[in-house]
Amino acid sequence: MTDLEKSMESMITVFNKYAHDGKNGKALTKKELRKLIETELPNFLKSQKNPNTVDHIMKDLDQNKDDELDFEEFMPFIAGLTMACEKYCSMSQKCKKMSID
Amino acid sequence: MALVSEFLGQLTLSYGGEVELKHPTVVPARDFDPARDAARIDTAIKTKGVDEQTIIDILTRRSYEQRREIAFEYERFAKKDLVSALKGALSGSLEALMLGLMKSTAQYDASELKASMKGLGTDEETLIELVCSRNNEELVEIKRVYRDLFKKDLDKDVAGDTSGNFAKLLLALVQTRRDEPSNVVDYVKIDEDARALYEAGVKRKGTDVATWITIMSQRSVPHLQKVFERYKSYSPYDIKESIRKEVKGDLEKSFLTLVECFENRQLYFANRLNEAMKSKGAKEKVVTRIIISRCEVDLMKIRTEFKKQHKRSLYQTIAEHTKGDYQKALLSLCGGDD
Repeated sequence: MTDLEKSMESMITVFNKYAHDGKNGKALTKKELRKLIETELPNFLKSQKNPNTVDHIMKDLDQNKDDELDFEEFMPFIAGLTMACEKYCSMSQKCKKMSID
Repeated sequence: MALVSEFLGQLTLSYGGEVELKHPTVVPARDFDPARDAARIDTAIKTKGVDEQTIIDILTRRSYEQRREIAFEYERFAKKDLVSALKGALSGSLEALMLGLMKSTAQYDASELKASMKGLGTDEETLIELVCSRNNEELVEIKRVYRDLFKKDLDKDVAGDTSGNFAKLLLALVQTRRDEPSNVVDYVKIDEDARALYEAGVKRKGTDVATWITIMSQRSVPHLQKVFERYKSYSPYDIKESIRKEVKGDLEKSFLTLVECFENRQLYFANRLNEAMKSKGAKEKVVTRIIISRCEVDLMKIRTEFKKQHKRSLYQTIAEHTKGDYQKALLSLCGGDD
């Protein structure tokens, strides 16, 4: 697989790993979302001062208001974070390393 | 990839659900060893003539959380409180700066507020800077810490120390009743507010300050940015010119500060730094306060705005207008030249 194919696959795999349990194995409940963010994005969660961050994220992403996130609702969150990282990267000196690799 | 992990630690989710970047100049040091730092500081303090350079090198290149860990280790090992040890070993502006670094942002802001109101007379400039430039989230935290530290309510102290419309504005801000930004743009309300501001000020003889205070202290910042834009279609003067025409003194300074912070907070701080350093008797307190309170938040962005606005880098300006160990500490917190 190419690097990009691997990235795409890993996003699907990670989502499924956490969505797997519970009533709907294809969607994240708030609890599963929390677990995912705590385990997979610890640095991000740590820097949030607002203790209701996960609630905010859930409310924001749950477009059809069914109290769970399917993959389609989940992806914009990851896309947003990735874009913010890229923006940060292009401002920071350290990014030179990223583009050479 | 370690870089993405690090960047994620620099992102904050704002109330509106957007991801904001923090632009600090001081970040947690890698390979952090609090015990080793504590030992080195102890040696530096005990050295004849005090080795200020080492203390500066360590404390200005650690995040606040890391400084707390160093303080903890220091107390365990030297059986003394680090803050007291620093007080004894350092003096002047350097001492004030180092002690400031040992406080959390909210604690520091709370103490600066207390100091501006202490005793006979009030340091209105500092009061205005602090109350008008901190956002809702920051003020809520400051109020909490203020009550913990001083067993008094910030509202009561501000009310006791100021008067008239100036007091009313500050109190309205300190009551943190500002709306949270919403994804929905309320065009009707924007127009209503713009018209209300115009009718309360430029349109009539005198000024209905209460209306200005209500709108500017309760609406969300994104809403207000649109209101000020809409305001231009009613008033021949933009909001800043209107403020200058309608009110004077501390009230004028406060409204102007508010508006400048809604527009571009980092530019406000950059201008304030510039003013403070270029003024006679370089107002070190102001410089110290801004550098300390923003170094882990957005000092990097302040540097950019500074260079854009004043054509010289913040680094150069600090080097020109300050000296000694105090200068070295500021330069280290500043992070680099632009």
